[in-house]
Amino acid sequence: MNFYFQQFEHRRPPEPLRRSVIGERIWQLLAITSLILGAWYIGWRWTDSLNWDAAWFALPLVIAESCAYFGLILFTLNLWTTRDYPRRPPPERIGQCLAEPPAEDRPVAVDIFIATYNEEEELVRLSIRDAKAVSYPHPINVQVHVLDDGRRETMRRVAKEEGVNYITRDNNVGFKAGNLRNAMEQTHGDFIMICDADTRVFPTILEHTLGYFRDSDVAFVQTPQWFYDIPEGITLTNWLGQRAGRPGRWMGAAVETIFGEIRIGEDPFVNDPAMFYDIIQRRRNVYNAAFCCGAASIHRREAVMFVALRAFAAAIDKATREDKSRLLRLIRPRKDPEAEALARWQAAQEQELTPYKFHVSEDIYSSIVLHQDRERRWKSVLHPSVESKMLSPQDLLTWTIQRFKYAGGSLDIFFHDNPVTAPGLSLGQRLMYLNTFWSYLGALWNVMFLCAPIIYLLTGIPPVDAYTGDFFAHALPFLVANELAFLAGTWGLSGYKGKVSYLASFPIGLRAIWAVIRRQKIKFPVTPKERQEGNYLNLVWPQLGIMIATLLGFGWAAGCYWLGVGNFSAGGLIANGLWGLNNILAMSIMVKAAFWKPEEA
Amino acid sequence: MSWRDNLRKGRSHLITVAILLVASSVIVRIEDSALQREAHKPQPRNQMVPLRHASPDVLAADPKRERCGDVPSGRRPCPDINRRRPTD
Repeated sequence: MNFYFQQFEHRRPPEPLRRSVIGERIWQLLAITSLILGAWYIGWRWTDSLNWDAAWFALPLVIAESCAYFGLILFTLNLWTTRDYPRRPPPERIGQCLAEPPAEDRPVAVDIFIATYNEEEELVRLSIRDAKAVSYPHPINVQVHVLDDGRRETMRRVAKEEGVNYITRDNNVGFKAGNLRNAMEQTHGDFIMICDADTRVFPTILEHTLGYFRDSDVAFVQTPQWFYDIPEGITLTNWLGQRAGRPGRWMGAAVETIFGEIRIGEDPFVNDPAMFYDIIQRRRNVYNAAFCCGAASIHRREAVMFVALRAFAAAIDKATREDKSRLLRLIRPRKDPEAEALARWQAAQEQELTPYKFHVSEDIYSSIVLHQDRERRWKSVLHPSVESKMLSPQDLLTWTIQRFKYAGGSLDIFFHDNPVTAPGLSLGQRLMYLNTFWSYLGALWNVMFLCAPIIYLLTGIPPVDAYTGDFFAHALPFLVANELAFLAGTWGLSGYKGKVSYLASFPIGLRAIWAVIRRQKIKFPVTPKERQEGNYLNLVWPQLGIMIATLLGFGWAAGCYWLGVGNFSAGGLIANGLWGLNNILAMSIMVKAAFWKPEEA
Repeated sequence: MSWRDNLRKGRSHLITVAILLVASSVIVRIEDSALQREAHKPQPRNQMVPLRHASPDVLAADPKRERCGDVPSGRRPCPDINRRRPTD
């Protein structure tokens, strides 16, 4: 069977970013400078710059700026230092991974779970084959299980042909989390590796990660997710050459000589996960706050059971008296093992009545529960090297579903079971989780940043006292220091993608906030692994609206200024014009993504 | 990755810094000039010289100068008034 991604099989993942002590010191110095200048700027904004004649506009904007500044403090703390968890040799026996010596020491046992629902069977076959090819330097008991929530005979047949175990169930309660839980009840490995249908693990994954579990407090190891099918685009020289012939090539080459290689059509959905895994998650190791993201993670079974028990206890705690007695009746010990298994199963069904309807939030929620435990002090590890490859969303609908799951799931926890104020977490962990939640709330102030230039351009009302020297004397040092700080802090990665993606995905964030506040039940289709055909302009109308309004506003303001009508100043026009241009460029990436189609192989 | 490659990846930060510096410098000069015209002050010999480079006498003569009195003297940029307030 031919898949579009077969042309990318030769690709190899990038190495993790190398840590440089000098580079880190430069970043920290610039970050501190940026935060001090930022505090000075925000203080000045509140005390000396507000246009009180237009408080309806000036106040929301300064509140938005203050919220963004608070987010900047959290993000700076997140990125402060890289301290990888020490790697240790892979264990030979399970006893090396436990605090207490086991009754019977034996080789390590690992269950590899490949969760599937409706993905193409042949695609899952590729994942099965890669899972079977996992190697280990010592004797090990590795079992591969296909967890099919689609109850497909064809999938069962593929599993049989590949010689791996097939697990299914007669319902889809709990979606992926329920699927995994069902498989856990039927398996016994010391460790569990979670894979999605498209997760193609590398042979070295266990050899490189099981060593962390020699520390008996390590609950799980998350490895970076790497999308090997992200379009690479073509260079500007070639792109212009195709359109304008030799003059185009010359022009492209001249631009690229000055600015370096520029790729057109690269990563249309700004999916590149390196910023998230190699920077954000990796630098949480120092706070013991890296959280699980599902696929390509390895879990200690004992820790997973711990989370399940805690969740179950919480469910009982929250349940009404009637529910409580029903649950207690279900889990009381029974003589008949079959009856007990059935009761446990029923209790597990009851457990689905927890507030966590978004299955994707199970990952981060489980991490929080582990981190919160004050007696056991579980640890989480972000392993810096890529140990698997997977497929990226290939159309805007899939991308939107995925982002909405992340946002909705995380905000659901924040609004309904906020771990930041609950007991258990260390200060560093609280701040890191707050950073995650705060970033999703960012849609609220991003809307203000997108609308502010439009309001000025349409009305001539500035939110600041004036766009003169005093304003720039306060704003410019902060903005420049901030850019230079993040140049150093994310050295080796493009910061633009993250910035654009954050700004342009504001409709998803708003929708998630609205849904969670209303406690709306949201049905998630499984994220498709193959490209969905269609035009997705309906998904980007807010971005398109911002672009059109900004352009119209600029035309209007320029016309008024030219005719001497209204209160427009040249300074205000330039400042807001450039701000609006920045917004248009950010929005345009999402609008272009709506029309993106892969090139024919 | 080489230093040059890393720098290329972070070029968006440098481009942003360059745009910020150039744009703010242009805006301040334009606003200064407009302010000079409005206040009927003699223009600096070169129209593009911002007011912060003007002599102390010129600044002292500006009746609205106190609007930026809270800015540290070392970086006192210019007379800062809201000449474009909607209520003006």
